[in-house]
Amino acid sequence: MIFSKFHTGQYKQLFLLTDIVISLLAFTLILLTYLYSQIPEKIYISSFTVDSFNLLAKIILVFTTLIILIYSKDRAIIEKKVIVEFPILILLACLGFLLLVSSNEFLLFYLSLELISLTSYVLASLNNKSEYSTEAGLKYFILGSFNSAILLLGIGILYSLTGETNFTELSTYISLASDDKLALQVGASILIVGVLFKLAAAPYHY
Amino acid sequence: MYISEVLFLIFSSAAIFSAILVISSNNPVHGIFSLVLAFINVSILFLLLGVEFLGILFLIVYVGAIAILFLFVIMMLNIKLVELLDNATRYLPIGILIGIFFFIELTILLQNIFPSLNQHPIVFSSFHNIFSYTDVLAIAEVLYLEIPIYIIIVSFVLLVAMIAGIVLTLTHEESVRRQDLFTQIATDYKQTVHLTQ
Repeated sequence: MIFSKFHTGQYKQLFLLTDIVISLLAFTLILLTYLYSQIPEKIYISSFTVDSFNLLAKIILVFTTLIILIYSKDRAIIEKKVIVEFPILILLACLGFLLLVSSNEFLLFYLSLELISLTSYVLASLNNKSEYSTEAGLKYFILGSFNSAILLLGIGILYSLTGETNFTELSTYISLASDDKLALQVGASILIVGVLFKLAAAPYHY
Repeated sequence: MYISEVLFLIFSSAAIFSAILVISSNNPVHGIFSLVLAFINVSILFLLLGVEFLGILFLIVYVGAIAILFLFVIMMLNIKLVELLDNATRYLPIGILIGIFFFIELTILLQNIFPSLNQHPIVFSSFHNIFSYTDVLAIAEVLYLEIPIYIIIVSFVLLVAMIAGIVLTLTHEESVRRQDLFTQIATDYKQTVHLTQ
């Protein structure tokens, strides 16, 4: 790698920041595994759940973020332009994923999903000198906002039918409800469309 | 007649008057100023209806941000004075027709939905219990006691937006010599002090 004369400080800054972030993530991983070994049963705070399954997912997520950051250490330097904010963006996306995993309510779910999507838009259009990157970022942003609207529509239909945003109470309501099944199915299918869009899964993968 | 009704009539007529001024003034800057006046009157109407939080929010968001933004845009664009008289006389009859239809529709609808509006005048609640449980207090209780985690997450989302704005627009030119704070702070004496003979 050729160190530019004026940007030596920025290279140093980026590498130091990445090292700090990696060590923090490793510390979090150790804490999470300790918590995973200690946790007896479900801890449940109305909109925020912590159980062994959640913790396993969180361990996998933090481990993946760690691997990504280790291998993309010099990916944040695009055409001699040092993007110091790259590890911070990755870390914020990781925070969004962790919140999403343990969310037990639609509002928290939506907010953490928005956190993830906003960071991904920025990461997609990071190379602002290239046309492809800008186009990809713009397309991703427009489709993502459209998809957020669909997701909110589904959440709104479910909320208008049941008056609940909490997942646990929603599931008990749906299991007890006898009438209005069709409307519930419509709301749930719109919600599933939104989530599949966000995941870029099978019918919406273009 | 209640005093609140008199106030309601005064401020609503002022709002309508300033709204007419917005579209009829020749100078766009004067139009923006009367728009600000209309917003202020509407927020006072909200205060009279007893939704003081929404009124203050209107004042902050519309007058404080959006109207001033419009003002800046108009001052920057340097728009010439519009020729008003031609268009106004041409579109006046159809405008009046649509307005009359809309008014009749709205009256029928309101009389069907709220039949009690004719018998009882609207009594505004805010003047009778000013010192009771306010709007702001209720919203603050929900926001800061029941769902404080959402505020924290929203602040993170705003942080991401700020970082995105900086990352996507800030470019460092190679030719420009600027101060690099990190190198200045990170230097130690071994690099800066040399022993010469």
